[in-house]
Amino acid sequence: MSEKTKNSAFFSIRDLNVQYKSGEQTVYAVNGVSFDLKAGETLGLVGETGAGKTTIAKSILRILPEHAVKRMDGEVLYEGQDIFKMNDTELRKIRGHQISMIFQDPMTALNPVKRVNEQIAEGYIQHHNCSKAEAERRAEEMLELVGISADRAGEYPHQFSGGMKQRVVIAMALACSPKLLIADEPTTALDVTIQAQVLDLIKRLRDELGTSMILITHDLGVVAGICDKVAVIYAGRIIESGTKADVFKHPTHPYTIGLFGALPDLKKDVERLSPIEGLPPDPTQVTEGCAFYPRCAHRCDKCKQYQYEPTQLSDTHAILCCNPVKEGAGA
Amino acid sequence: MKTKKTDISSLKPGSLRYVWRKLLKNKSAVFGLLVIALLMILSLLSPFICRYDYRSMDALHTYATPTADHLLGTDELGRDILSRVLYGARYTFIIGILSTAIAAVLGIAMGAAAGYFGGKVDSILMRFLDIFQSFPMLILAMAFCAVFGTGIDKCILALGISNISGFARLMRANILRIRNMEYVEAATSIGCPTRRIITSHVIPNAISPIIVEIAMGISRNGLASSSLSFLGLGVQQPTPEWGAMLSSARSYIRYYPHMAIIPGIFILITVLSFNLIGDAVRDILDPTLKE
Repeated sequence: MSEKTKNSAFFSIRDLNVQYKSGEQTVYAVNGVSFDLKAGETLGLVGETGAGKTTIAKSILRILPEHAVKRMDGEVLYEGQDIFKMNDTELRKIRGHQISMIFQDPMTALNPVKRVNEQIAEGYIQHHNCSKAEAERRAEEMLELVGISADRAGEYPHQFSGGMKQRVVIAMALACSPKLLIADEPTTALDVTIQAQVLDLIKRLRDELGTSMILITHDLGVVAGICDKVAVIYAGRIIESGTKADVFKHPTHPYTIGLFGALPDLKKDVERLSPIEGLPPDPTQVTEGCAFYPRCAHRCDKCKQYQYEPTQLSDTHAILCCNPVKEGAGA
Repeated sequence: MKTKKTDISSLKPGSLRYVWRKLLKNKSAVFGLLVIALLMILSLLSPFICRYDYRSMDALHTYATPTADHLLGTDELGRDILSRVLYGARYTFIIGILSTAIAAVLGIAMGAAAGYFGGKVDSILMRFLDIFQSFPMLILAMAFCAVFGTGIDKCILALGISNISGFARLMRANILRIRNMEYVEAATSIGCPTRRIITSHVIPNAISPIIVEIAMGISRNGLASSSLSFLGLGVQQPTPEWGAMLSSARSYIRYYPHMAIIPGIFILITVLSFNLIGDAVRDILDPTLKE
């Protein structure tokens, strides 16, 4: 992304780098990611497994396991304040109250030995100086809001089904009406019919509460339904970003085009889908040039020396590619 | 929402209430619980229900084998063995329970800190506990007794300290497993302070194997207290501790074996009962053994 006035963005990330230790090796999980989000906007982060999507989400709240992280720098600016420079007390005030997160797997995101109302109330008590009873009333309201009867507030997570658990996780994340919600693949662990219900719920609550959102997914269909902006991630970099129209109507990076090529289209009669051949690169190796080169259908010799200089296609649309696919020539 | 008699299926597997409910359905555990309850009650009531004081000597009836007068006979000083054995039960229970409590509290705290914080805290605590673990438990307890001196309080302390490392190790292993669970991240992400995460999310999920260790620890420490007393390092004569009784009966075992057999049988029954409970708790908490 190019220079934008920092003041206009309510949330922005500048040059985020995250590296993990893995034995002797270093895992380059996120390599210089930047993006902006205006209040009320929804950004979709799309990418394959292991592309660094969840790492971005967790580093925003600084909840990556400290012992595994080797390097984490850059700026995460929330209303002008850098989250990476905050002390624990300031950070706790942000977590849950201003920014909160919906986790990928509802089976493990709830504490099995605590009643669901206690878990929802927990964050509320932390941020509002209130009694336990008041917080539990709030928890019941939240349960009703996500479509679970308040009668079930005193039950344990194992008494709920997967979809219901994800609703509880959503209630937990929204209990303090955060201004920014990070949804980390909120529907991946659920089956298809439940996926649709949960997505509708997230969309409805976002609109009702006016929350900004970062939605992480590998499902382009989900992005199309919910997001205003899209950022496509490959090997820890945003390789294409723009408005939904930019990316869906005029995909330019060969990887993005490849992703669309791998989607079934009901209007066209094709024998086989065209997947992107090969596997994502090993994140422990630093490659010369473009990380997508070995799999790219549109590679050229320049790509081997590519230094990731961004190309701005329009005000909103940017790519990291030295040999982009021209309009109309793509798949 | 709040009903007095909740259905067992609605209880969280692993919660204390669930374990208790299942325990009452297990025959051998109920047997163990009953025996222990009976011994505790008899021991507390022994000054009122026994015909003889556990201290009173009777020079005319020494070494008596069981008779109607002395149901379990008398010892070398003519003291009634039934009174002594029942009164002595309280020492085994007190030492077993209190020393396990000391070991569990300190072990859980150290193990939780080592597991949660990792790194240097972990290395320092665990290497320190390795020193303790490199000695056999009884030898270590004997060494502590030799330093602290003899007596019930010192015996409790010695056994308590020698048992810390077992609890700490178990707790640390569980914490390591739970620390990386997503609900711990989730709790962090809604702004919970670290202290609260440890006490309300991590420890409650790591505690169930500790319950088994506690039940086993009480029997182990009860037995160890008898061993220490037998060796003359624990509770001293004339206190009727079972191990001390065994020790003094040792000289007469060839001619008056009942003096040694009776406290021996009581030690056996008590240890067996605690082990039955411990085994049942382990089975209840092991998900692979679900019927």
